[in-house]
Amino acid sequence: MKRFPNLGFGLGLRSKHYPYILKNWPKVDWFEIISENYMGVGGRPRHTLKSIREKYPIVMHGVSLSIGSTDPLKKEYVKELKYLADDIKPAWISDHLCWTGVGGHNMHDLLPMPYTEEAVWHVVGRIKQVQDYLGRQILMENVSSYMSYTQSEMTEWDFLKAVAIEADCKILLDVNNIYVSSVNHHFDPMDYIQAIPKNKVVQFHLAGHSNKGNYLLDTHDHPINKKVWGLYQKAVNRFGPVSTLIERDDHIPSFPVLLKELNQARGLAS
Amino acid sequence: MKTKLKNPKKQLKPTQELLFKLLSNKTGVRQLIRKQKIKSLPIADSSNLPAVNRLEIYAGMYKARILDSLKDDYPGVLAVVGKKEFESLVDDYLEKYPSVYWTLRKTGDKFPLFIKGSKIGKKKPWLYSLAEFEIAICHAFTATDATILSREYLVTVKPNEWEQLRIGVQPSCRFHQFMWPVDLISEKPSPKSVYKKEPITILIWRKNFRVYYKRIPEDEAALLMALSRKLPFGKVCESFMAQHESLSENWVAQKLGEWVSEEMLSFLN
Repeated sequence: MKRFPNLGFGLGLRSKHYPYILKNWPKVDWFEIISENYMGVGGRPRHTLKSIREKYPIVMHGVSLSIGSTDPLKKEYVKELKYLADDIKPAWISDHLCWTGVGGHNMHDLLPMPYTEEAVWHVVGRIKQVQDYLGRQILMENVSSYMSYTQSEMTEWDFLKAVAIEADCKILLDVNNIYVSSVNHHFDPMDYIQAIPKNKVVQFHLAGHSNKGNYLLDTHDHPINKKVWGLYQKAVNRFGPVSTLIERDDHIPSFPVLLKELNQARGLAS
Repeated sequence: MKTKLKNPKKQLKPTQELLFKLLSNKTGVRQLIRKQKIKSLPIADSSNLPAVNRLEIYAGMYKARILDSLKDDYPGVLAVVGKKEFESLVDDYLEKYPSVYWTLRKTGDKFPLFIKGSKIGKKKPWLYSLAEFEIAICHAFTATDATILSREYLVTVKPNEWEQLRIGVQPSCRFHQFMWPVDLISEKPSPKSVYKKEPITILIWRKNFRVYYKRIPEDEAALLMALSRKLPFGKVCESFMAQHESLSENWVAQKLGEWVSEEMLSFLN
């Protein structure tokens, strides 16, 4: 079996949909979980996850690794992550190329990195540590951002590419995040897509965002925007068939509505 | 990028520290810039969105995210103090106890303690107890699983095996002592209500993914406490009976039966 197979078209697993999934076992190729929602907890979430895992491939997607923080890696966190991975055996594990806090504090947000060589090597060393501990390659996702640093020495895509190559990790390319950031920082999203090495991309994310007037906010509370669909089509043209997942975290519609959106992705990719 | 820089600029740590200060500042990004006379920000400006506004997006999300999480954890406290006062409490709370956890689940753990020392907490001393009760409910909901002790298993235990049997209390099952009738307060929390002080012990536990609670007398709490020490059952009974001479072994057996039915106990052997 390939290390990173094309899983097809999946959805983010959200508790609102537990009853529907358990009753109907819908035709979805795979589910992605937010790792932290199942780490160190029991009860319904963990029980439901185990039931769903018996019928679908699962991917673990984290939001709190804080790979870019200058704080030491949180050993307890990585230990819990491994414990969950050993239990549910995900197809792969991903998190974001960002930092979430410093000085022992957590902002519970995905803060962008400055695109400097210092940051590249800092992140590379930490990804290697995590990969060694987990015994597997992980995926790093590009975040959407609303700020960039004056000290940046390269573009975001060169930064992501350098990290992926030097750390020997894979990439979860969030197409919506590229679009949101391209509007917020005035760059051509196709420059981003074209720069990322084909062999590094293992997964796509698609999601909706909100228009706040003078910037776009990555809210995951709307259907996927037409322009993001367009960019996804171009990404598929460049990277070929890649596991694709739709995320929805707020104003979550019924499962069949999300399935329709997923079928739209399926149609575009075929 | 094949070679490491020999002397890379060490900007990352101070930049992150400055951003944390700016984004978590209670009175806002602009106020801190003004107060600390910060001349240049490490954030790029653009014509449509200046650096300060960009930072304010993140500052706003930081507070909103934690506020939402605390609203979910403390619905009763929210109902009592109202939306505006709750937001102000959370602002003050975050200043005193910025989140140090990787999960939002724990971010509000010190909120009851904070309420106790707050102005409104002093005015309404029962609010602290209500907050403690609410977070205990949350913890029970997500507590880790354990092998539940079943009646089916207990009937297979031979008489000579009981002494060495290790029975525990499952992780979600905890008793809590309160100075106020929080079970009643939480049913209809209201800012106008007046409550009488009433020390009570409440048992909170999860069964079939639902969280339950009930008042329990002191002797039951003492037996649960003894069981939670994970000692062989013979030793648990010995020490418990020595301190509760008026209770019989039948009483212990009856409680055990009730708690097994309620899925409160776990199997440790």
